[in-house]
Amino acid sequence: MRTPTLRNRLKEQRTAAGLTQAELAGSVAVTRKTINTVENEVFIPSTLLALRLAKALKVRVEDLFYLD
Amino acid sequence: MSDEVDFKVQQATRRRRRLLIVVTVGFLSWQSGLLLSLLRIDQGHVRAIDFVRLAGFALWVVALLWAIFSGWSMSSDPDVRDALNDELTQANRAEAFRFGFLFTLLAASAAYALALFQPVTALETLPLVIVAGVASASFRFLYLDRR
Repeated sequence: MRTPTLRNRLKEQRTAAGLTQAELAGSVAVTRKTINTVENEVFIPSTLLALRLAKALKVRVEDLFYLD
Repeated sequence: MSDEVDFKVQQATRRRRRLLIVVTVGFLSWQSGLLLSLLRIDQGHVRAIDFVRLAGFALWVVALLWAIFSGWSMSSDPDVRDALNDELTQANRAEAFRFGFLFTLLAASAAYALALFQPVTALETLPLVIVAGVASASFRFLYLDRR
């Protein structure tokens, strides 16, 4: 069975919310680089950060992250 | 995070990376002199300078490990310090630690294999094992931090 890959729509949701990477980073207390690596799917965030991102963008975690 | 803090974080990250490169390369260049000292100690020709070199080696190992695993915060600003130790940095650090551990085991295995064919002493082997672990962890952290 193939291991599913975690994908995300963070960039779409962030731009839809009218936020820059730096602004989103500030609201969840991480660096802009962390947001960038999550958006580019280089870094898989912890559950805690995923929940904080969803809260900051006022969406559900499932709207940000999904399995492919 | 304001643009000013973001700028400071980027500056501090670059500074930390440059310093880590200098310290790691310096650490590796220190090894030739250290190994000669250890061979002299092993053969019973002990000089005070050899112990100074050994103390320097130990200090350098501790400094590098502290640099990698404490975050080596390059700013007095608490926001910048927190940002330099965020989740991504912690994940990079954990990966660097795992990598260093792997190289330590590989170096120890190589020394063990060598010992089957010719006698090697702990004084010859241990520094190489430590250097393999610390330097590989440091380079791995630098690579991950640059992504």
